Amino acid sequence: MLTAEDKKMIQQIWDKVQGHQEDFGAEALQRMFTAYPQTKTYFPHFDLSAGSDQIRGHGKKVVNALGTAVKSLDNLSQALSELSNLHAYNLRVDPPYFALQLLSQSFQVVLASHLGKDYTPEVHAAFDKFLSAVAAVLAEKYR
Amino acid sequence: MVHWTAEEKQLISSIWSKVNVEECGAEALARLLIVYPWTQRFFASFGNLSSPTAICGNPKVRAHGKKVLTSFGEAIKNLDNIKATYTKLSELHCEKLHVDPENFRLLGDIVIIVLASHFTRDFTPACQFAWQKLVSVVAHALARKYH
Repeated sequence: MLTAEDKKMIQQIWDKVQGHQEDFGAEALQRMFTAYPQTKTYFPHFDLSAGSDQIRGHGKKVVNALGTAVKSLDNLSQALSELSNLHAYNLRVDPPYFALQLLSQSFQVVLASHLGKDYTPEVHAAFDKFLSAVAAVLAEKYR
Repeated sequence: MVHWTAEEKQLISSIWSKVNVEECGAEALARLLIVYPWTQRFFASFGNLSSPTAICGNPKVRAHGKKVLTSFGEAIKNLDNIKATYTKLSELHCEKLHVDPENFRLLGDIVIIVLASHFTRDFTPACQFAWQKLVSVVAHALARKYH
């Protein structure tokens, strides 16, 4: 459960992401594809070379969706309903907790590597909870 | 036996040579207890774990974190035989400590985040790949003697 304190920290961190959406998104995907090659199986139709337009475009999409989630921390289920449908019926990234955990880890590594000490243990905990909550909503309709 | 490319070995050791084991170990264990509070169940005898500040300052947490990361160092010295390096520790974690091996995966991911926050840009995607592989192999070796 996200506490009021968590929500505050998530918002603070997200303010630092502003202006870097595309970069952070692209880097998170790049890291995920490099560290966990099995995730590439979901993108056979993409040019996955470093800096590819498709990765930049998709990274931006992912981060914008997270931004939507940040604005709707009190109602993630509703805010992410469309994406939840997409992941359940269309994309079927499998299994949701596992594969999305890899993206969560990759995104947190991006934050940690850019924010350094500012990615404190407290912020880390709040953000990890946030990404788990997002993954849970995306997985809601799988079965 | 795990196969390591020359590049992976180089990426691992170049980061490791710059790691302050005491600091990073303490931080990694503290983060485990903060980010995944249920892991505190294994450390009831450690005293005050009531807040992130208390956890980060707790001398037992710091000392134990150093111990844990030091053992990673052993794995790095013996990349070609991590299984043997961890045989005794695996038995210990199963028979005496009763730790669910899932926790090894959690700690491994936290070590990665700590490294990323310390090394920032130098912790490249290639570095992350090599290190995620290492923590995964270590976690696997630690779980290997469970019965």
